[in-house]
Amino acid sequence: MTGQPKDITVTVTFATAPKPFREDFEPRTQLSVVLDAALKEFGITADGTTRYYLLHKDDEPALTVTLADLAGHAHAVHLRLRTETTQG
Amino acid sequence: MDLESRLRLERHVPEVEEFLASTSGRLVHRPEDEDGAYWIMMQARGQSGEPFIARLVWTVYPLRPPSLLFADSVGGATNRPASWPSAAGYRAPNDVCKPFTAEGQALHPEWATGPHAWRASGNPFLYVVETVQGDIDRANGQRAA
Repeated sequence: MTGQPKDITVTVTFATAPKPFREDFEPRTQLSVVLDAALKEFGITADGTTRYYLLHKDDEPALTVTLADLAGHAHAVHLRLRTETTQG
Repeated sequence: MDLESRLRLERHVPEVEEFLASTSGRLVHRPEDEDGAYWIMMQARGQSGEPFIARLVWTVYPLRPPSLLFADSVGGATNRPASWPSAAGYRAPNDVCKPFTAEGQALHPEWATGPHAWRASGNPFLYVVETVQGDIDRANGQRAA
């Protein structure tokens, strides 16, 4: 008997956030969804002058990558939010 | 620098040191340095050789962004382009025109509000160091001259 795949607990840390963003997502969730949720939690509105991206173990995965791809057999993923000013 | 700024900075330094240790970097604050002044040895991830030496000076922490220049040595001159990364917005050897620097915010009063406003929450020291590291990584450690 096969059950539903367990949700993956995602933690996103951001240096200027008072606390990390933590939420459970379905494994098939793409990173773009996690990024949008984290930006909302941190009170950041993307305006096209700054690029916001996520690091996983020092690499920047594509936003189309799913949490299942990142997590492998793990049930938790830790991501770091970073910024790059693209237009001054 | 006021006492509260100094104490807050001291609380945030360990996280900065931990991050730098993961990138083969190092934080230096000598006894002769003024409060709030740090020298940060940094290099592009995966590269070895001569590190960049960022000179970061905080005045009111965490409420104001730091001055950021690049030096040829710890305690050394900041006017040599070869000491600076060849990264977007890093205008060697004058300033780093980015929202996370005192120089950038002074040049762009419009950054005081909106998406480029200085964020004083969390650990701004770590935020600046992580952001500079990202810029150096994207420049593949290239120097301005």
